[in-house]
Amino acid sequence: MHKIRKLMRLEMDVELFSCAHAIAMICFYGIIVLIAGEKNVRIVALFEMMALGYVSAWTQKALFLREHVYSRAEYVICEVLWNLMPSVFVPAFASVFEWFDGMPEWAAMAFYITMACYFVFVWLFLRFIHYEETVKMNRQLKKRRKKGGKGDEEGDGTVTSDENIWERPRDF
Amino acid sequence: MKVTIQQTGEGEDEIILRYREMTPEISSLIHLLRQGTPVITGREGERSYRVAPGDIYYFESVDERLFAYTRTHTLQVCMTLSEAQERLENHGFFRCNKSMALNLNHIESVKSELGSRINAALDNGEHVVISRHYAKRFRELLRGGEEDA
Repeated sequence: MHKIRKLMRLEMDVELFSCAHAIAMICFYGIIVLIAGEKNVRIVALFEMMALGYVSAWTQKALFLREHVYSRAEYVICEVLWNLMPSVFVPAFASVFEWFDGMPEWAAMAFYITMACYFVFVWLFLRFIHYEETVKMNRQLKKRRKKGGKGDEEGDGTVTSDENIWERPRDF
Repeated sequence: MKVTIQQTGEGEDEIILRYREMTPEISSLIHLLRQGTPVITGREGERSYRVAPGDIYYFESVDERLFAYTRTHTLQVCMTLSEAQERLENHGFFRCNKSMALNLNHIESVKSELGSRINAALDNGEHVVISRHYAKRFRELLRGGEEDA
């Protein structure tokens, strides 16, 4: 049950990002296609974009799924991949599903660049949110320490040895 | 509530609690005083040790065995992670991920990271991850909302 709940929460998270990616893609695609002089958009292409949004969101989520401390290098690599992988998926999906078939080449290029900028922008936005939260939490931590939370029941730092204690290990 | 602390030169150490009406707050205070400071007993190699909860950085469950980490020792403790967390909740311990209970008083700084995780830097230089699942509780503790489950 716990695992199902965890998976559901994860899925909700992914779907939120997936929707944001899909909406951005459909918007930018629509604008670029309009500028390129096209009046019609294949409805299937929109579903393909939604699928790409979902794939991108899961990929980004998977990069930070592990419950261990990431080293500085690991974290930076994951952040770069977070931006890079969806930016690579976009041209891959676009050429496989022929989103820009019969349109000028600049339209496809403009779309890829816009989408890459969008992913970077989302990343910067998330970084800002996390930075704000970090500052807030550290302030609260400092406040808590000042209030006397730290070291209230701390011993003198020494660990005392007693051979008989193990005989009554649950005795607090 | 007025708190008066007085140092005397002689006699026994004594705590006198004066109240007009027994309130849950006073009752829990009495309970806390009666409990005293627990001592954790643990084993490292052939030797057994006693250690104050404040000296423990975190508990970690490894292969169904629980270890308490102090600055200098890694003690095997004879209880479960949930028991340790429950008993020492009032001493700043909280569950930070599925295998660890961390002493809030030893956290030097924290960093919010992608994936809704929190990276906690301890004052011994170690880093511990507060997973997304337990990050909410950690934030509540920082805000001082211990009463929220």
